[in-house]
Amino acid sequence: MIRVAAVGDIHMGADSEGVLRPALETLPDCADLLLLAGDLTRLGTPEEARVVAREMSGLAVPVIAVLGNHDHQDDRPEEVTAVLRDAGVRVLEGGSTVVDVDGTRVGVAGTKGFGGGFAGRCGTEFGEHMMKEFVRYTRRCADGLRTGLEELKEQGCAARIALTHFSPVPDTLAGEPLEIYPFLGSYLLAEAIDTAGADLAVHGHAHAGTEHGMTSGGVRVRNVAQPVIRRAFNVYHLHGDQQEARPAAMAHTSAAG
Amino acid sequence: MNEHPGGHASGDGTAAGTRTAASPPNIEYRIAHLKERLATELVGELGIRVEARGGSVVVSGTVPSVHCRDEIERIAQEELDGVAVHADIVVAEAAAPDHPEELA
Repeated sequence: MIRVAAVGDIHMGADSEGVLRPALETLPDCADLLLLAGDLTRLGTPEEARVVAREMSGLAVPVIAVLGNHDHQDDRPEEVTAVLRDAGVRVLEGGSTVVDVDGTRVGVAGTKGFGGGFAGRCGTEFGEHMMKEFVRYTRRCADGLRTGLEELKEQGCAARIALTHFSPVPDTLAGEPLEIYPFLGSYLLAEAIDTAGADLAVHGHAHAGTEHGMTSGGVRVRNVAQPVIRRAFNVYHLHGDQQEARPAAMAHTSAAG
Repeated sequence: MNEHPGGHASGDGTAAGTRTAASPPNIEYRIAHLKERLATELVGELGIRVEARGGSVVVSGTVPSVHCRDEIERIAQEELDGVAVHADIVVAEAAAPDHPEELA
């Protein structure tokens, strides 16, 4: 069994120093790794990133993160990434990383992702340059996620997790206004997950959404935005041996409790 | 009727709404401006919901700190001066979970 802790949208600033630390200190007792699903800061400044870095530094479990749109607000995502990496956080954007959990290889592929909307109700690569670039950017993010998941498969990971900030499915947006769904996620992310296969997809971004969802290929999706889970993090128990590389064809999935 | 997009002709004309008479007709635009300010000013808040309800405005959502909540309430009062603002803003909970979810 693999114990995955996850939270997104912690939006740390100067006034949140130490807020999460007491809960994070309990991680070794309940989780094997911690996933951070983006929007770690409020305005994406290196100063805020340092608050996050201090909060995460020296934890007894590996910490793996993607950035969110807030972490881009100050136009310095590279600096934010560097600050977090200096603190030992593995920041992913189109790549993947492997964690060894008692001899079991657990892979995480990640991208911030972007918007565009969901199948049948989405933007397309047509018209103005900015519109085409909008959709192409999401496509590049999705391609990076798919490549990362495929790499993990080649590396023989017993469990693979897709980590994004934007949502791959509309299910976990329930509660948000329908009109803003295209700004909250894209089906291209779900298509990448279903094409490459994964055991779990974790995202944030939709504060008013709901926790549980599923891709059309049967991969469980969890919205771990802190306002949704109402905790410092949630923990998911994955049973990797039962779920080896769940492909899109394996649509049968037992109902979650 | 629709040439003034913000002009909400409230159906309950009998309501005590002392604010209704004082409310300017462009409340939709004022809400849009407030949301823009919340996103771009110090708090960087995109997840706050601001909705007109009758003659008043409800501001709701979850924020990371008490300071953020106070700032949002201050900016909302400032931007919607003359309109009754009802705030229902929750500070995010930072406790560790008490149980996992089994994904069997």
